[in-house]
Amino acid sequence: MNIFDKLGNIYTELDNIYANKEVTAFSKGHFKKEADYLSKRLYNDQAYFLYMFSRLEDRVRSLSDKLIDVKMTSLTDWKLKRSWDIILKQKNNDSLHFMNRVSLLTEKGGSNYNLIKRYYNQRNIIGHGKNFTITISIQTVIIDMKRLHISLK
Amino acid sequence: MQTIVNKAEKLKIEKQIIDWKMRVAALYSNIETWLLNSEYKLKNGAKLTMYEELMAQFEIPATAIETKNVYKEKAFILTLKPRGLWIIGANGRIDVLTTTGNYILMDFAAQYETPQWKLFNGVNKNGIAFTKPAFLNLLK
Repeated sequence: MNIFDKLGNIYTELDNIYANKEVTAFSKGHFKKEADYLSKRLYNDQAYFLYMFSRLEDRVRSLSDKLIDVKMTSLTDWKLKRSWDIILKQKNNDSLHFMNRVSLLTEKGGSNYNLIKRYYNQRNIIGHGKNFTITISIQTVIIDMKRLHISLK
Repeated sequence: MQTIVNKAEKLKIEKQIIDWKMRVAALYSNIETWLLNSEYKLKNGAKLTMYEELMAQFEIPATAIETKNVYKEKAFILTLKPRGLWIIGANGRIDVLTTTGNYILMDFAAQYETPQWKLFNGVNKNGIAFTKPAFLNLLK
């Protein structure tokens, strides 16, 4: 079982517990409790989304590092190598932006790129202490992450 | 120029909200039809406030969206709560919370196309089509 399915299973287990408490509170007319449990589910969404996105980040980092190294060792013509030389310097001093790494692995502006960009924006929003600005369903996140994990090259 | 672009964008967002409410209402209507001549009844629940990021961005006021509950006689069975319209990878999400488990409905149709609702829970990782049998199965 891959990491996204594993995380998805744990997420579902927790989400089911809180959803069950949410619906029980609702059925008893305890609306404040209902809202509290919904809020816990939202925090759980965020935590698992960040965890899953971090796995994708690792994948992007390792694939792009590998690609840069391969280009630097295989290219001999300076005309072809010069841009990779700049990218290598950015990689080595850790200034190569995440989305630039992504654009090394998939077409900039393409559907995969745009999808990662949307998730990356959400990740930054949570990372800076805010909630999701749009709803994220972990079920679709898992499907997307699994697909991206395979299709990035 | 910027104002014209913003106005056009705002209109687009408002149109999407209207479309979302219509899709939700159509789904409720389908469910009501599925429950005809059964021991279950679909009833109005408390309205939820819909106020998503794009609405704030374009100064569109919060709006109310309907929830529905299913009862078997007086016993509560499940609730349908629209959770969000703008979702990465789908065109709207409704939470379906039952006394025995929780499910998520997501519309995978393109904008303004006939909805393609899929039902998710932990078991069906790719979701299943939201049909009458799939819904009735939730009531068991």
